[in-house]
Amino acid sequence: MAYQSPVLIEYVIDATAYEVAAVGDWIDRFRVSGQQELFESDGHKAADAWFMPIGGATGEISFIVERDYSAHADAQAAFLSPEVVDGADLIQSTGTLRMTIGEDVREWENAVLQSVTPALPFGPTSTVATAFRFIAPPVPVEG
Amino acid sequence: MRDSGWRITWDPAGETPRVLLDFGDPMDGEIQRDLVQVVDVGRFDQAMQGRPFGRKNRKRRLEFNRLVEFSDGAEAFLAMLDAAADDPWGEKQLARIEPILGGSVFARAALLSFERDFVTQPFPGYSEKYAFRVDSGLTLVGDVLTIIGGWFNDPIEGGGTSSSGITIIVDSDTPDLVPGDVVYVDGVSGVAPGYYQVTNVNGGQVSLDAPTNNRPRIVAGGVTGGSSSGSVNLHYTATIYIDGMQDGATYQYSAPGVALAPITPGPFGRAEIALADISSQISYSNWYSGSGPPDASVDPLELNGQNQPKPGDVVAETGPTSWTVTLFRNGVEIDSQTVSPSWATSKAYSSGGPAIHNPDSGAHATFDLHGPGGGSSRRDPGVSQPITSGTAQKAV
Repeated sequence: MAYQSPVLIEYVIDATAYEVAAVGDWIDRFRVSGQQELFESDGHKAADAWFMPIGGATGEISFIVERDYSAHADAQAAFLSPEVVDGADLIQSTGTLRMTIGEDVREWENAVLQSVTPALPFGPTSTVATAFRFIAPPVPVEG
Repeated sequence: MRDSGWRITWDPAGETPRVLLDFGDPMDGEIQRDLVQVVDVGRFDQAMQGRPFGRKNRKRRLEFNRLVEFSDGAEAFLAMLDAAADDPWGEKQLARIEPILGGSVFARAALLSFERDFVTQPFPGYSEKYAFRVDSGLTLVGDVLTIIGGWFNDPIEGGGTSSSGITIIVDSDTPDLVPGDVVYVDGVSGVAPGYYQVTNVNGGQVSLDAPTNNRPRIVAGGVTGGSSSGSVNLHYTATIYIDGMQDGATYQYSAPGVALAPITPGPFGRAEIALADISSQISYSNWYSGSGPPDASVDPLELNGQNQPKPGDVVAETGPTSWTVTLFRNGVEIDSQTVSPSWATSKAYSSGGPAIHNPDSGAHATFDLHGPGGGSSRRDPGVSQPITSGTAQKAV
């Protein structure tokens, strides 16, 4: 179920911050995840494959932002170009994903917007729910 | 959602062991420990033929989840973002999978992935899920040590969580064991066979740990006050927590307002009993007279579990300042606890007006009956038992 965001989400490319979601916007399914790369091979112990972390890790930050539009035509236009925020195409660059919660700022440097998936439910509704998925190093730093 | 019946610790013998899941943590799914074998499947005519892919192709994973609660969404969000820094990255380490009853399982584990989802129901917080790659477990090495003596729930020390462990005496004065090692114990009456971690070695005397269970404190209600004279009512509620009651025994308790009442054990031998509202009252009079603020020792008035006003002072407490809960097994008293509420409020009377009230951590009684024999962690000589035989072997 969607809730009002307590966090300001911005994607910063070349020192310009693009607002992906403002505090109070309706967001949903905010997930932070990460995985560690393992090297696995046949081991020496019978019936047990050997495994070892090799020091690589990938993080993923994904969430859905819901926006209402007063006219269905505007919703359809947003549905067709969900990757454009404040006039910029966010999906072509590497940037910093910045989250601001009150006075605390957390940033994922070298974050890539890996996918943008809009959803416009069938019918007269004009709410577009856009899922963003960023790939970044898994541990954010203080901004 | 239910309370976790497991404790999962990563790197239990290391410098910074991490308890990733604890007894009582809310979970919304059972832990999973699966084993898969890579299979090579071929089709021959109309028959499927499958055979294991290789000699060493088994992969075992451990997955578990928990819900972490916060008081507001913004705090939960920040904690969720920062938690990735504390995750168990890096080398595979020993992990301990500890059920609430019985012996633990040890395995070497490396983090595969974590997921954290922000939630608003049932409370502001986040739900986290861990997946680890684990190996099949430890291998027994070295000589099998014969246990020639020992005890559990040591009656001599008489209580305290440290003595609720297991001590075994082996037939060697120099067993090859150091604190942190894991041994497999078997054949000891009253002790579940399984892996236990060594906490101390003193010649042939080896101490092993047993599960413990720490309950969170509960919050007592606040206090309110009036002006220069009046009374402050205290209302605090308390809950008795009991873990580890055994089948076949009858348990009862007594508490303020309850002479003797039965306890019905739930899963894991657990019970939670909410006591009726326990009230106390503090009266004060002529607090702030025309000649100036009262004595500095009572202005600001601070009320806490240690400094309670005595009758006759301008501030007096009436009603109970502590209460005692007693636990009985089969009609015999096995443990009792006397707890005092720990509440704080303050009032600076120089300016009059209402008191400042703070909800504070209240007192509660916890009876942990874990460990072999379902003994009480405080004092329970009834089930303290000597150990006369069994075997122990180091596991790596």
